[in-house]
Amino acid sequence: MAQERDIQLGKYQLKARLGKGGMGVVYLATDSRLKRDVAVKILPRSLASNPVAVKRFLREARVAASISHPSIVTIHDVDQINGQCFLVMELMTGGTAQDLLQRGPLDWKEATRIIADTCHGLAAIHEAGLIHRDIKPSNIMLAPKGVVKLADFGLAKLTDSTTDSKPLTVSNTILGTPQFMSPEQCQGDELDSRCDLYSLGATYFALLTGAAPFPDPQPLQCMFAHCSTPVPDPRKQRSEIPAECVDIIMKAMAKKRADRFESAREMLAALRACLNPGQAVSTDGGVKASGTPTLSPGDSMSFGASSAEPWATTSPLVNPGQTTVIMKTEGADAAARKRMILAISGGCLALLIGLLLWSGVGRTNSGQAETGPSKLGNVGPGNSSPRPNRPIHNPVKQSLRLELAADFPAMSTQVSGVAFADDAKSFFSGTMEGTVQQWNIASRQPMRSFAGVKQGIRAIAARHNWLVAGGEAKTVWLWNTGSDQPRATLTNFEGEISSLAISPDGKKLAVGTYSELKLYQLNDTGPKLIEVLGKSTNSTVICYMVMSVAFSSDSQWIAATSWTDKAVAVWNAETGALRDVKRHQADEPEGISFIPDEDRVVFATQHKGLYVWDLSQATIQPVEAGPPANRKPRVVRTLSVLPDGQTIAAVGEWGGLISLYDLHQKTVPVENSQATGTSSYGLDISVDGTLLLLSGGDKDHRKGFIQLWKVVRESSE
Amino acid sequence: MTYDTPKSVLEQISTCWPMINNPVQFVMRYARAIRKYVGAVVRDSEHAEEVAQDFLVQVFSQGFCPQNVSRGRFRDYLKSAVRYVAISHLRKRRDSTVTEEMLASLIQPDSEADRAWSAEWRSCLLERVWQLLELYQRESSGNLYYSVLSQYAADPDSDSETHAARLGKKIGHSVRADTFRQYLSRARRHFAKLIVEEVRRTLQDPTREDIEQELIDLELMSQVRGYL
Repeated sequence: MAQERDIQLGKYQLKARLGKGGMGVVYLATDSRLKRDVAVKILPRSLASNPVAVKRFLREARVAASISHPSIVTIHDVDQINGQCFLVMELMTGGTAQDLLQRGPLDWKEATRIIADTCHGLAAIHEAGLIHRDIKPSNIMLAPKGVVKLADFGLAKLTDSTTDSKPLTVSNTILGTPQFMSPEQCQGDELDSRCDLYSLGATYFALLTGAAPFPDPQPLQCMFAHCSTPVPDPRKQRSEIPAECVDIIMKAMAKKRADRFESAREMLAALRACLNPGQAVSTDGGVKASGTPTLSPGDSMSFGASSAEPWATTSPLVNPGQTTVIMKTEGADAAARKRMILAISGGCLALLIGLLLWSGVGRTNSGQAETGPSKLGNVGPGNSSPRPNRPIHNPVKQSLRLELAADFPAMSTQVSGVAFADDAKSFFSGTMEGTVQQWNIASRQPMRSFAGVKQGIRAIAARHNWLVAGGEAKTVWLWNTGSDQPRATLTNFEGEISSLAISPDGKKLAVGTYSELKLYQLNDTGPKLIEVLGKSTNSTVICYMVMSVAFSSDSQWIAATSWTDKAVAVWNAETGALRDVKRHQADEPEGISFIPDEDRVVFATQHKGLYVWDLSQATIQPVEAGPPANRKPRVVRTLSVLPDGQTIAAVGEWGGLISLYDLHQKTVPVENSQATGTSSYGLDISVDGTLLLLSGGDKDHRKGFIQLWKVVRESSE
Repeated sequence: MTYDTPKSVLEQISTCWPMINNPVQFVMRYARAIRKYVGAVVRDSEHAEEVAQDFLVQVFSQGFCPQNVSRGRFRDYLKSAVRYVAISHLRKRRDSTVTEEMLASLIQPDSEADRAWSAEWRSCLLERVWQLLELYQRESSGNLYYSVLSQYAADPDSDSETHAARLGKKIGHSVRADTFRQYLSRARRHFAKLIVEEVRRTLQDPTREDIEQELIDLELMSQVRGYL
């Protein structure tokens, strides 16, 4: 390996050889520009010298690189330099499932969890139109804290052909991994996504028993067995394996494709049902209808009104114009008590208010509200702002549009977060290059940089003269905005910082990481830990991949979503006590925000759109009308409810567009027209709801943007 | 007593037959038939496994050249090759139960092993055709050939009304009986086409008569008559 040191491949410095596979050699390398370690896989010259193969490889690798999913190893770059075709990938240091197998078979629950997570990533690959073609234990990468990621997808196709029909490999050369190959792969037939399900079933068998279903070391005999020998019962090797696991293997490994799971999502649903017995699962991974069960705080239970609406517990959210009066049932503060009084006045009062609103009186209320609060702190990503005087929803039709007010100078890296300063005349930004800056909105220039930051920033929040940022270094830096020197530094997190929020009263800080969720008290002496709300090493409801955190407008409650746990939870922000949690079998929640002054939260899911969770009523309802199938699956990184309590702004991975959902009209989201072509990660809304900050960039961190948008309201009647 | 000598022809590579370019894949397509045939010849699961392994090693290392194949049928060639390996194995066993008479019986055209081979080959071929039909439906938006034909094949005695109702329930909208019959007719035609194509792949430079003869021998003519 000595001779391979110091090899420079573009901006990547190859440092050590990590391994070698059929598709090339993998090196540990450093991205000299971003100063981060990556894995670089260099394809064999035999393949790289074939222009047709290279073209196809580059095309497919770029499609693969466009997939962003927590269960897939990220591809940062794909390129060809001096005839060397290479991939740059996220560096995984936790070994592979194959390494686990060296120690023998896995506990069935652990094996099922690994396969379920892998299947989750596989579903994303299939939905992107790709087939992995080489699912096996050594392609299942493990990160610390149990995170599982699928690697090497999209590459195996290169081994099959250079054109759509002509074999790339020489006759009688077997590429791939016979122990996990589907019969149709062995037979050289046209493939579809179900070949991956077969391989995943074979991998599941291996994890449960310690050996592949057909372990013959001779490739041909092994392939012959895949095509002609019934899959053995894994319980003959380990009798304690549950029958449900065996059923999944048998279905996944059916010789006839039509007898297998129809899709990765269907298999995923079966795996999750196996992990969570007693919960019915629909074929698309959703939870089947089971009515609306009574839940106690802390219950972790999935439930839904129908398989088509997996999160929902009741059907329509509100009809247009319907008045919504919400009251808290526990931990009610003064504001909540006011609302309770309002509610206690009964349906007659609600009806009266509704009539008033329909008659146009509501417009006046709305106008008052817009000029109401003056010093409420910022709305950080995923947070909502308190508006104590905001009236009940105004159903008067207003069209809402966005005008680009300022396009800040392009950045050379992704801008992962933005947050308005208290006066909304400036804002803060954090980038994946590890810079935290304050910008002057009028001049569109940076005012200053905050010191002490290391590595990429993934989250940022600001309120009440506090500024916090954190990211790859598993560290949170806390500044008073009057000083560029950190006031405090929080370390000892087990995962990278993924989300941050400061409560509207400026007294609490929530830190979400890939492995935990912690709540701090903020005071003059700095942050003090209140409670660990979730931790991977404990059996807490939120353990991994805390995607978003948000405080209620009265600072009494904190909500968070966990991608990996497929859970949304709410805690008491004073005590850290869990109030309620909702889980789902297959759909991952992402951005979350409280609706100002209400006991409801809005959260986004990747596959089924946005939902409103009414905490008092224990109901979850979709924001958009119509069947979930009509909603475009989107990775919503950040969302926030505007101070009007009606408009939800959501951004994510769909070309830099901002989606505006109308909470009450249940309409298809309106989008701004000036897409950046990249993804948006940072979103903040000014206290008065008239300005919107947007930031983002490409997932390779090579370019970034910050935009300021003006929210323009126009009454249509 | 003389036997086919596939070993000698295996040593020669020919490109005249498309399947010869990748014999492994083709063998895998009919792996179930091979396993069944070996089992019928050797009648001992452990030995059958050894025979199968020996055969595969030959295929992998030497490929195929069916120059002397009767009527240009890959099916016959493959059977000969498997039988040769099996008989060689039986001879090596020096088992008293293995007599020349017993070995001679194996090459009789209507032996039990022969019948098992033909039945399993037919089954493999039809299974491949069903898979191709299912793939065709998946890749053709709105196509229902596989759904219609598999539903009908599972219950050929029900009338069109019943089938139409069943199909409508499956696809989520109502289907009239005459529409179902129309679907069924088209599905059968496509199925027949796939059968012929698959049979053609197993024959060397076939004429129409060759294909028809193979369809007759495999008892598949009834499936395609009217569509040829």
